[in-house]
Amino acid sequence: MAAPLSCDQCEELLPDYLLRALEPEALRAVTEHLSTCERCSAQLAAYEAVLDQLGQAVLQHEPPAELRSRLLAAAREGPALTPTAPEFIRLRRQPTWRPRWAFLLTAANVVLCLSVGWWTWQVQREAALVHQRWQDVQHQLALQRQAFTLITAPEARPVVLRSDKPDSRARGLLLLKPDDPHAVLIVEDLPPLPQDRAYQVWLGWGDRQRDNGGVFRVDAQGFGLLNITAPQPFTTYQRVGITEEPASGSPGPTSPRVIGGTP
Amino acid sequence: MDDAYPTDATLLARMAHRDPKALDTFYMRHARAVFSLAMTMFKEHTRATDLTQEVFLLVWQSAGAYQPTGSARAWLLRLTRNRAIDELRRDRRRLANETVLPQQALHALSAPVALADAAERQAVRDALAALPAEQRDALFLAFFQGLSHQEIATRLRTPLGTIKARIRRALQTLRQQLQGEQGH
Repeated sequence: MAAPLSCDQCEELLPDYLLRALEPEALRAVTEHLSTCERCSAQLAAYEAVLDQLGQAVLQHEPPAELRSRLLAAAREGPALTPTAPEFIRLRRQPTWRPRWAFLLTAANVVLCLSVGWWTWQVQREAALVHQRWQDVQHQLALQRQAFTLITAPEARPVVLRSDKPDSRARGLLLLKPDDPHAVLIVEDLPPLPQDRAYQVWLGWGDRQRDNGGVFRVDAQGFGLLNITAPQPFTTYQRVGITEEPASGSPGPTSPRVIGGTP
Repeated sequence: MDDAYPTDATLLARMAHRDPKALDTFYMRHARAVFSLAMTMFKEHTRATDLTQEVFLLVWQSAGAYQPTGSARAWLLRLTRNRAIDELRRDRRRLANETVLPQQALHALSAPVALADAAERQAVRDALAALPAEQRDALFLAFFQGLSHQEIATRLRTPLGTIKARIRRALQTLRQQLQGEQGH
């Protein structure tokens, strides 16, 4: 555990903190100091304003015209909508039975009854799909709110998770409060998995001891969020790893680590 | 007024309810700034395009969690900068192929066409021009190229402690200059 910083020491480290150039130990010390010091937090905001101005003063370039439509298409295929949207659209576009005038009245009635029954079933199914989608969206929003709460919590600490493979873009960020068992995991560029597979989080300590941190899936872009409630406070854990496992989870890791890090 | 020109906060709230028109308006309002910063940092059209899309998709996915504490554009550019820095630092091949010098990066900021239409940009240019060259170079390498302080020290063949001090002093000076400008 690093020694607490004085305000002078903290202020000296603020530019490095903003430029993401601090070593983990120093980052932890600055984050802890900022959580209790209004003066240094105000200094941080002032430096941040300078960097914001630098970022806005660059030579302006027009983004490619096709990026706009590409973005909107990607947004429409977003994680909360992807699993159900295609089916939803397909159901709405099903042709409806239309009895012809030449059919016998009895046959027409039978067809009409079948059509009404089919239509009712479709409406109920659509309603169930919409309800499911609404629940998915609410769940995602709740996760994102928790993530944001942790990001902005003064005592929150980020743990970067990386792949051991140099050519992999997979990465993650675990946001935690050291004395708390709750954390939020955000991952990016993890390969999407088939329906019967999922990613599982492992929280390790000691020689080979570990707890299950939960199971999650990623969207088509490899983005995923998981709200973790660990069996113990995060001060206990010395390692975090993510492996690919069966969708229902596994009692222990059965595949190589995809990404990992040290709290 | 609100319908004709919705605020960024309104657009973000609508995005949280999955309104793609709000994303479209938000994109049209800020895409140029995001793409320009990405271009300055990556110097590659394809990577800048990909990062711009990534940033706006992230906003789309997390709009409900956004709680405004400053301008949305500053928030977007911070997101862009941080992701670009992380990506640049991961890109180990960059060190072998890198040819851009701080002076070229400075050109990206000081080109008149970029700054003529904004008093704030002019103020930034003046403040940067007033910095000692060695402080400006170190700051540019850290800010626009995502180099760690150790990498800058190696590149400029200067002790690490000196690089840290230069960056710190550059930011302190800019802060005094720019906040002084705003105060008038």
